[in-house]
Amino acid sequence: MEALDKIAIHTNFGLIDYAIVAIFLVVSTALGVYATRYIKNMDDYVVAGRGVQTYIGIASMIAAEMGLVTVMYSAQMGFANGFSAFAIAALSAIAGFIVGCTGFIVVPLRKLCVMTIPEFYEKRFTRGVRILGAIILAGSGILNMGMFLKVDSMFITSVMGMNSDWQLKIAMSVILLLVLLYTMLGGMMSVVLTDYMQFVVMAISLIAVSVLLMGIFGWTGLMNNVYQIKGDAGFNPLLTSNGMGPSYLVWMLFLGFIGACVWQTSVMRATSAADTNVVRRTYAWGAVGFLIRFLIPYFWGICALVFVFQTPALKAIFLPPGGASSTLQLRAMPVALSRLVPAGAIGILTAGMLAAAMSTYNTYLHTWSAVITQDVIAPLSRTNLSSNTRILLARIIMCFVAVFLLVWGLWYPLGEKLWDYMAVTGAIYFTGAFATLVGGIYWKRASTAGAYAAFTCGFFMLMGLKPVQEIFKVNWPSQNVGLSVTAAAIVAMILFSLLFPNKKEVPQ
Amino acid sequence: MMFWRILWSVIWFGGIGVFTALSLLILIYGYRDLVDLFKTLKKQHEQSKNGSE
Repeated sequence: MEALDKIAIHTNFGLIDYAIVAIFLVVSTALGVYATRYIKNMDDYVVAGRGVQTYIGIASMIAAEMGLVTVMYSAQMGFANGFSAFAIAALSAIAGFIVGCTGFIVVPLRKLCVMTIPEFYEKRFTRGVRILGAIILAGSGILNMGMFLKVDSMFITSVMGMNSDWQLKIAMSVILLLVLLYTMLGGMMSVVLTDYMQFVVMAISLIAVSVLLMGIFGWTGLMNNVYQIKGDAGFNPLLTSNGMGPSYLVWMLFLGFIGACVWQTSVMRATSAADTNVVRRTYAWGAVGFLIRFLIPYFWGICALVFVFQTPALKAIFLPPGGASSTLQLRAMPVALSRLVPAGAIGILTAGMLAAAMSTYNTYLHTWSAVITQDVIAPLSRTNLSSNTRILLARIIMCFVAVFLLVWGLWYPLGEKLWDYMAVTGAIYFTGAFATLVGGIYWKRASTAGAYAAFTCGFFMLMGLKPVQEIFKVNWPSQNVGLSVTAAAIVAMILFSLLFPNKKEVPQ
Repeated sequence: MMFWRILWSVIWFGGIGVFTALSLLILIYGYRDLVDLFKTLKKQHEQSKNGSE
């Protein structure tokens, strides 16, 4: 890593860029704190009084789902796979659009007026299913989020030319504390308000940097260079030689559906919407966001690939014979951008990426604290908790989650295969949740036993982790494990529902 | 290969064009939605306050 540190020192990031970033941070925090005055009860705190309209809903959804961590991993994908990666962006958009047009899962949830997905489990199944579903959801979500700070910090380090570890840790700790401050006070209102401002900054940054890169490389030039470096594998996603192929694309399409209608942070937009028409419109237009959140970072990764290929000093580091490590590939995009984007513009880029990071942190902090309060502590409590008590509990839990993030993501040394870790921790929840939600909403005979069985199947996703596979001496691609576990969860839901039906019939 | 080149070009230019247009719409109408949201909440709070008195 020493060679990389020397390269990262040379960045176009200057005084004006520091000023842009500082102004962005101050305005973001001030807006978040301002929203606090509109919080009077738990409905305001968790779902913004269910008054969110279409455009603000789309802004909030795109801002929340396009984290800096997404930009980093997607850029790595573009760097490694070239234009083939565009297929994933297209599939994700198709999934989001279908959810928007059909209202699949999200419209029934909004009609039921639930705040969280586990709340639905109690309405449809039992309180036990709600608590189990909430524990798995929050546990996998918090573990999943544990990686965000670490990966986001790689971008900040590379772009701003920070080289010492402590500088990085303090910078990211300050950002997390600012987000914690306003999210804890203002809940969903702060999330919506800051997401709007952060969406605007992020969109300007994404479009401006993409246009700049287009000007530098030219579209035809990029395509020719990628063909020279990667050959057919840089364009054709059906080829298995680049780690993609048909089964990988099916898995990505499924993840697209999950990201839109099963993952609580997205569903929160549906449950906060003013009515079901707003839900449909938000998701149909949000499909553009689902496309862009991958497409632009892939493009940046492709530009980084071409830039690295044309720069001998960088080529030796990022494209050595035998391939670079996953961590090095992650750093390729920010290192390339720190040299390609001029002073002033790089400040806007960093502010945009900080916006992406902050809008994801606030949503995740808010969502997981709301789930633990509403779906674990409140159902277990023997007394009916008041709104004020629930808000207080959510705020305390949010602090604990933030401390966990700092310890786990920044100060605790983790392994290098972060993407595997993230995909598997997320899938432990959503493979079981998909079967439970679809069964619960669309199948009258779905039973409590079926729901428990589906959730249990989700734990088999642990087999997707490389260290676990090494213990069992197997080497299965994560997409095969994911698709198999999803199929197993659906079969378990059907089988156990038929074998152990509910004694009391539940109205659909 | 030409198929993939054309497909990715269409997706890229189409995607970035639609996103730019959507961003402009969100910039204008998102602000209006925010103002409406604040008004709605204020109204709800006043109603519940009057109801409890």
